[in-house]
Formats: sequence, structure tokens, C-alpha cells
Amino acid sequence: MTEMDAIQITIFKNIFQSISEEMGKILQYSAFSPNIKERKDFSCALFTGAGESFAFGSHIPVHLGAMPLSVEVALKETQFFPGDMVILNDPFRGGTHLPDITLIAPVFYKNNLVFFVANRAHHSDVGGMQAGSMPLSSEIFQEGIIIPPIKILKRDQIDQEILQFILSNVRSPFERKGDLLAQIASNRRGIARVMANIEKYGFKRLSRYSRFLIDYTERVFKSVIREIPDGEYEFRDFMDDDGFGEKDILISVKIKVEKEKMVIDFSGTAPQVTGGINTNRAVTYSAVLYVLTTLLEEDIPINSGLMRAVQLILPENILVNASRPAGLAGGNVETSQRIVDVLLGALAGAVPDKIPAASQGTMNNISFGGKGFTYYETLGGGTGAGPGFHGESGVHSHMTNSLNTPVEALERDFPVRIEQYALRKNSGGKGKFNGGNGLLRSYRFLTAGQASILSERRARGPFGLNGGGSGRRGKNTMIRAGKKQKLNSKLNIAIKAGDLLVIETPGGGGYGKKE
Amino acid sequence: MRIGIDTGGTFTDFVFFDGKNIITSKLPSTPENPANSIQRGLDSVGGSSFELVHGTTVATNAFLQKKMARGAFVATRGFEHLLVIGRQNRTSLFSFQVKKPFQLIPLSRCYGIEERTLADGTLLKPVVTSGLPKLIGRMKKQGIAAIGIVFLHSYRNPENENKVAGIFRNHGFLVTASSEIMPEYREYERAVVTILNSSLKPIIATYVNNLKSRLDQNRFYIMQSNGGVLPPERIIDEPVRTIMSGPAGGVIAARRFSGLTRNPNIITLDMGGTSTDVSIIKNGQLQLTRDGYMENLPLRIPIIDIATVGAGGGSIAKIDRGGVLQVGPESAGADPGPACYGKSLFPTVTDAFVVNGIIQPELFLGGNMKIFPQKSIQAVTKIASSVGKTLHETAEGIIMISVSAIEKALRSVTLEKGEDPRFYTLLPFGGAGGMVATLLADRLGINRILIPPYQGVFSALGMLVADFQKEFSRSFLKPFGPGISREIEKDFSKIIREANRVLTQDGFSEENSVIQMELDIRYRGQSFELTVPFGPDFIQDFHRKHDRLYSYRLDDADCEIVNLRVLALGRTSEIRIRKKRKQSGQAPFLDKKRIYFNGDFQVFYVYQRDAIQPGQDIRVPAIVVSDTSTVVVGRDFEVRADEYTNLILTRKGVAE
Repeated sequence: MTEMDAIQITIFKNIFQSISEEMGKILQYSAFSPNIKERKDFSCALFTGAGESFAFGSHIPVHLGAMPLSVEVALKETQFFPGDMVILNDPFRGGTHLPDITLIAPVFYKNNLVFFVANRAHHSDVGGMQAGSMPLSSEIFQEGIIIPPIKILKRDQIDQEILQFILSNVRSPFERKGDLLAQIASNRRGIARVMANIEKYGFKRLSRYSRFLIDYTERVFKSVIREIPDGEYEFRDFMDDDGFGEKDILISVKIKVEKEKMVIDFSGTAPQVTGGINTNRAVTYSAVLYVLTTLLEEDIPINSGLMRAVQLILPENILVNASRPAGLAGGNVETSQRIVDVLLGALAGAVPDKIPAASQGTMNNISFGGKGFTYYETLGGGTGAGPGFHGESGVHSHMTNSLNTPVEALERDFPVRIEQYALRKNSGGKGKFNGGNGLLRSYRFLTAGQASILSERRARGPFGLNGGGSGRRGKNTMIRAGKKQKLNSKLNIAIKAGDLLVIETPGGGGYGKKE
Repeated sequence: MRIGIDTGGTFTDFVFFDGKNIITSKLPSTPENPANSIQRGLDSVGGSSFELVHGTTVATNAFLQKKMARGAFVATRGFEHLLVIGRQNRTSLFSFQVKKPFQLIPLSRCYGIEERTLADGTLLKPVVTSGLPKLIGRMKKQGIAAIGIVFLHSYRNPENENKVAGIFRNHGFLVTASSEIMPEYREYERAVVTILNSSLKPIIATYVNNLKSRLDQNRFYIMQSNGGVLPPERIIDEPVRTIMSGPAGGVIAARRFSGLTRNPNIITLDMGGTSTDVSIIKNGQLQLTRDGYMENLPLRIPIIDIATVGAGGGSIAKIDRGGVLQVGPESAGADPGPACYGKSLFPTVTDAFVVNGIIQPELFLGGNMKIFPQKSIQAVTKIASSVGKTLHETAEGIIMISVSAIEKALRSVTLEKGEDPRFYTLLPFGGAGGMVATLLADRLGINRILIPPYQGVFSALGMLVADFQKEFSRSFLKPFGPGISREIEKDFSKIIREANRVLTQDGFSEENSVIQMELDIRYRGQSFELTVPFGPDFIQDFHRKHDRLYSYRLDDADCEIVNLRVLALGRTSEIRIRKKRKQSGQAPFLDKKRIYFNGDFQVFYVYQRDAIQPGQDIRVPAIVVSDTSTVVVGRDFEVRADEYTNLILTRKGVAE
């Protein structure tokens, strides 16, 4: 029986999904930091022994395509034994940006490496020049500790020296340790569940159906591409700036559709920049996969099958495929959103009745810290209106869906007071259908420290489509001793007790001409 | 006489207990006013003195149909958009049409009031009441009936909230202040519970008062989502506590049978038309969660921890564009229903049972409903030709896919909580649960299945045996350290005084009441808590529980005690389910039928449930049919009826 069975495959899909979801629950419930527990900024996945993902549990699209690349690198660079677990965050060796720490564990059956389980979580502190580890940097070394693929577990024992080495490089070692232990627990649960299923269904069957699921996703996805008219579709948009003086940084894409094949070409995009808003290949891939996934209308498993249908052309040393030692902290969160904007802009040329106007196009990353504390959060904004619907207000869009931190939790644990958290009226683009409104959040700092902002769409608002207006651009303001000062879209700033930081996030683009 | 009543969409079920015997009946529901069918049921038995326990979906339906009272939301100024912003997340990751959970109150009725309390309870700014008369005038013009108030950090210091609540109440509004209903931190979650409560108040009040006027002086109780009951006077104040009470009755009845049969660890399985509910009973206790959702809205009040999966008898099978068979979550419902109802050609799970002979047309619902097996065959044949399998293989595939979806839900209630399903007994109830029970048991390694009697009115039976239960909580937020137990005890004694007052007021003597004390604890820095009983060694209990659930513990970490909880239980009059004299030998079978099961046609013995006497065995493989349910038993199990006429299925070769 080597043919795919149309019934068995759904049964195995349920089994694999239940494993990755359970890994996620273990991680969420046992982690320490609000970023993982409250905001669910993590993903869990299962991989074949060859490193292709076949089941994926996540709330965070930016992790989508990047995990298989981590496993690929770990597989290439490591000799695995049972009980090993590899940790990594090096963006140039399988990672995305430094705060995303990935743990990969092999599953052995009869002395053969047959599967991998892995999870990735965003740590709100990995050291570096700025509390929160989301600084405005000019090279990767400022952003925190770089962990190449190394074994944090050997023969199922934690390597205390490596753990201590990592913890010595961060500002909040206790919280990091808790989160890392949670990640280890999550992978262990994953391994145990995979083993139990091997025992029950036999390795051959399990392995066969893991591969069938990838084929299945590939097949469904190719049928979606076939529905897009053949042709070449181009779009361009700009990043506001890199925080180091370079403005209007071009991202250009050409999508070529030919039958069931899609070629996505980023040639023409600006060279990599000084400020840390570059992305590596993994993040660009994730943005591409996110857009493709949104085109699927059915509930199909998200896995490496998606990647098989797409060819990505990414010249070296450009903004969206930067090389060492480029700074990347902001690329993962900000540039990834613009990559989505240009991809959707291009597809609007092909299937105009499906694609919505631009959403806020930023995550509005705010981090601050001082003696003994670090904090990081992101803010929602307006989403783009589309054919037949208005945009939504004050919500995360595209590459992230992390929750906010409750004001009451924030004020309990950190020396800051939120004075306002409200919708930003009339900030959505007008049209037949209006874009959603952005948010306003103001922070009163109660103690001195430092803060960083990484934000976008402060120069141009998110675009409308088919005659709809743009959303209002965002705005960052500091009120110090009664004086208002407009802040750049990206900066590191020293804060004094009593400072009030006001962040206004962009509205979404409108859709269609207002009648 | 004590009476349990479960009001469903189609039928209202009654279970009467006259001190000796249990009598059951079913009447059509009267959705326009559920009290009408209750009245009719009571009239049918006569008798003027009784105590009634009732599960109502009035609150649930008001929410689902978005017919709650016209409400307003009042927050700390600057945070009036709290309900709209929510947690900033969207409900579907990959949909272009971005949507948030349902908006409970439109922006035009969300207001801010100048005031501020800090995280440690300090009153930074007393509430400014000068603007209130104008606001009240505006609210009256808007026709507002109910107000929910949520001020920041009111769980720590409710002073400002209480003051404003008092003023609104003096102007005739129904008010819920967040510190009254849920004095715990996280403002959005608290706001959702507060607003649901305030907007349900007028609706539940109308319903309860109507019912009360018809019951003369007789006592009655209403079921809550946590599996306990409360008298109407208390439900009127806290209607949100009934919003997820629908599935509670069945689980409570299951707990009763867990105790009767000395099976302390039970997995309940309720397979209905559109979905299946599963939950666990551990050491004879219901499992509660404060992590529930309703239509993506967080519901942080204690509810029975039930996992629901969109796989039921009406779930529709289809082939997707990848050539793969999917079952559900779309359902044919009751109308048009499965193909065998004769109104559509949707191939459903029920049709798969019909095709393979597991549902016998002449015995379906006691022969009271005509079904059309040819339609089932026609519907499933379409699917079979697409997947390239025989009709019967395909039908079994449809069944197995829905079983695998239910298995997923079952794992989520057991394994991920550190429990191993192999040590549990499976207890199916509802129409279809018995048809998938052994299949599920096979997949989960379960060796024992308990199928209680009263399947058709199981939920109403649960109402009958439920206890009074009222929860109190208070935020504590202090680190664990020397001398902390005394502080905890001091705070507990205040809550317990209040709890005892409530118990006495509601007529429970000391010997009929129980007070349970629990603590929510976490490692400092974590933001989720675990609940453990308050005993001499509660910190060790916490470490152990953390280790069991999450596979690690941090003995040298600081622990923080977040909330104190008190559960006041009042034992209602006892319902004795009587043993019957055991017979021996084999029960007589009705018929033999060829049934497709486990990849093959086999001859099954067909039994009528009512004909099986306590102590008797039945031959396997078998199907056991009653008016409301069907049970399928493969060759791997042996079956005996116990002295309560439970069917006990035990896997062959496994010691009891």
C-alpha cells in the first residue's frame, strides 16, 4: 500500500495536528514571559527526517517558512544522537532574528533519525545594546547574543555550561531560563507523542503519511496557482527609512505565474541598509508563504508542500536577503509586513476581486527597560478594506497576531503607567469600504531607563485599492516636561521619570471609490 | 418530590424522584417561553409540594442570538474602547477579511469616567462624579437598561467602582461592577464577563420571575456552568454563570454513576447532531476551567472543562480539492438532516452508520421516526466513487475520520493535562456516543466502557442530583514566605464568613454544607496560575502539580499567591438510585444482522436495551438498541449489565 488513501490521510492529519497543538499548550502554560504566555508569540512543528515540515501549530505567520530552514541548517551542521536538542537563533545559520530562539530535537526509531520536532519562541530579552532586544542597530552584534546551532541537551541532559553561557548574556536570566525550560518540555512532549504513535501505527505508515500530507498540500496549492491568470505582475513600495538617514528604501517584486508554477522575483529591491531593518531569506520566505496561504480558501495543513510550488529569486545582499553582519531586529517585524504589502499589491493586478487594500504595515514595536526589568510589546492598527468589507480597527494584521499585554498586568510588573489606550478616530482610509482605525497608546514612565521604537508607515500611509484612499500614517510623540517632540519612526532614546510617550498607529487603506 | 428538568431545543426532559422511584418523561419544548413546557410537565404529575432543579439556556440563547438587553460600558477615561480593542488579535490568521470577536457593546454606548486606581490599590484619583447627571440623561435617551462598570485595578480596590455603581443604581439602572462579579486582574477578560452579566440580567430576571410565579412557594434551583446549582435570587445577580450550563447536566449525571460504580476516573462522551462534547471526571471530581471561550470571547469564570469538536451525527462528508475525504465541521443539522431523513442528499456520519447496518432503520428512535436507507446509500455512493473504495469501506472511513477528530478533543482534555486515558473509563451518553465508544477506546487504549441507563434524559437526571455551589474569589497577590499561611487564613476567614452567611441564608445546615479553600499560585514572573487546595503543604502541592503538568519544577524560585478561592457547597436532598436484584445467564437477543465493522461483514446480535436484566451477559459482537441510543460492541469486549442496569464493557483479556 504505497498509494495515498483519501481517508487515512485525514486521520493522520488529525493525529499530527494534535501533537503540534499539544506541544504549543505545554509551551504556553509552562513559559514565564508574558510574550510567550499572554501573547502566544511561538510556534511548534513536526518535520520529516529530511527536514520538511508536515504539521505546524502556530499563531504567528512570520514563523511559517522559517522553521524548515532552521531544521535544514541543524541537519547539515550537527551529528544528532538520541536525547540531543539543538538550540539556535543565528539568523545567518537558520534563525530569523535574534529574539526568536528555536529548539530542535531529533526523534530516533531503531537507531535511525526519523523525525524532528521543533519549537520557536520570541524571547523578550536576548541581551544586546538595548533592553527588550529590539534595538535600532547597525549590525547584528548589537542586537544580542548570537547562538549558532549547538546542543543544549546531550543524552537528554541539559548542558549547564551552555545554559549558563546564554543566561550570562541576557538582562533577565531567570525569565529566560523559565522560557527555555518550557521550550525543552514542549519538545519532549512532542517526541513522546511521536514515539507513541510509531508504536501504535508503525513507523512505515507514519512516515508515509507525513510525506503524503506534504504532497497533498503541494497539490492543493498548485491548483490554486492554476486559477490565477498566467502573466507577470509587478508592484513597488517603500520602507520609510532605516533609522540611520537612508529614506524611501525600495522593495520591488515581480510575480510570474505560468500554469501551476509561480516565480517570485525580488531583483530590483534596494541593497541592504545600515539600520537593522534587513531581512534574511527565512523571513522573506515566511512573508511569501503567508501571502500564498491567504489565497487558499480551504483548511489544508500548512507545511513544506507550499514551498515546492514556488520559486523565489533573491539576489544576495539586498534588503530582503541581507548577509552578515547586517542588523535584522526590525526586518522580521517591519520589513516582513512591507514584503506582504508588495506581494498583495502585485497579486491585485492578477486577481483584483480577491485582494484587500494595505493594512497598517507595521507592528509598532515598543521596548523599554531599566534597572532589573525589560519589556517588549507591539501594537495593532487598522486593516485594509477589501471587496465587500470594511477594515477592522485596532488589530494585528498579516505577519503577526500576538495578543496585547493587559494594562493591569503591565502596570503590576513594570514601572510604567498607561494613560490612554484607545482607537484613533478617522484614521482608516475612506472608500466604498473604509479601512480600519489605528490605535493610540500612551506610556507614562515612572523611572529612568531606555526605550526603542521600531515602526513604519510614519512617512506614507497604507495604500488604498481600486480608488480607495490611504490610511492615515502613524505618529510617535514624546512629551517631556510639558514639551511635545515628534519622534522618528525608529530610534533608541533615554527616558526620564515622568516622560510620556504617545504612539499612534496607522489606519488601513480604503477599497473602491466612495460613491 | 424532587424534579430535574432539562430544556433543550426540541424536547424538555423531566426526571421525577418521589423518594423511592425515578420516573422520566419527555415533552416538546416551547421556545417562545420555556416555562410553558415546564408547567405542562409539572401539571402532568400533579402534587403541590416539590423542589425543582432546572437547566436553562435562556442566557445562552440570548447571547447566541444577540438578543441581550441594551447595555452600556463604563470604563476608566482613556480606556472606553477596551471592549472593541480586545486583545488586539484576530480570529482567523489567514483571512483577508479581518475580524475580531463579537463586539458586545457598540462604541456609541461606551463611556469613560475620570478616575484612577493603581496596581497596588492606591487611589490615585478619586472618581469625578460631576459629569454623571449629564451622562445618565444621555443613557436614558439611548434606552439603556443595563450598565457594566470596569475601572482599572478595581480587583485591588473597588472604591471608585462601588461609588459609581451606587449612583447608577439610584437612577434605576441594572448594574454590574466588575469587582463584584470577577475581582481578578486582566481588564479585558473582566470586562467581557461584566458586560455579559449586566446585559443578561434583565433577560434572566424576566424568565426567573415568570417561572417563580408559576411554582407557588416551591423551591427551585438553576444550573450554573460550573455544575452546581443556585437559587433564583442569586442567579438574577449573576446570570453569566449560567451561560455555558448546557452540557453540565450530563457530566454531573456521569459523576453520579462514577460514584455508584466506583469508577473514580471517567471520560464523558456526548455525541450529538452537530458536535461532540468530552470532559473528564478525576477522582470523582468534575474538572473546571477558567479558560473558556464563547464565540472567541474569553469567559474567565469557572466552567466545566469540556472540549467540543465539530463532529456529530449530522457532520457532512465531502471530497476537497486535494482529493481527500473531509468530515465536518459543516453539519446537516436536524433540518434537512442526514440523507436518510429523506430531505437532502448530504452524506453524513449518521448515513454512514445506516449504510453499514449499525443503525437499523426499523429500530431508529424506537421505530418512531421513518428513515430511508436507500438515500443514505445513494449519498455515500457518490463519495465512494471519488475515493475509489467500496460503499462500506467509505462509510467506515467517514466514521473513522469523525472518530479521529473526537480523539483529538479527548487528548486535549486528558494527555495535555498530564492524565493518561488508559486509566480512565469511557462513559458515553446521548444518541450517538455508544456507536463510537469502542472505536475510541481502541485508539486511546481504554479498557472499560460504562453505559448508564436513562440515556434519553441523562442531562435532566444530572440536574436532579446536582448540589448547591457558590464560588467566591479574592485577589491576594503576595509572595510565599514565612508567616504567609497566617495571612492567608486571615483573608480566608473573611470570605468564609460571607460564604457561611450565604449557605445559612439559603437553608443549608452545617452538616449539609462544605467549604473548600483553594489557592491560585504561580512562580513569580509567570502569568498563568495553577489552582491547588489550601492545605498544610500547599506549596509542595503546587510544585508537584507544576511538575506533573509541565514536566519541570523550580524549587528555589519565588512563588506568588495570586487569588484565594472559596467554594461553598450545599448538599441537596439525596437521590437514591436503587440497586436491582441480579439475575444470571444471558439476555435474550432480538435478532441477528449482518453488519460491516472493522473492514468486514460480521453477524451481530441485536439486543433491546430494556430486555437486558441486571447481572446478565450478552453475546458479542452486538448492537444494543434503545429508544434514544445505539451501542456497538466489537468482539474485543465482553458485556455485562450491573445491578444498576449499567452496561459494563470490558476488554477481553484485561483483568478488572
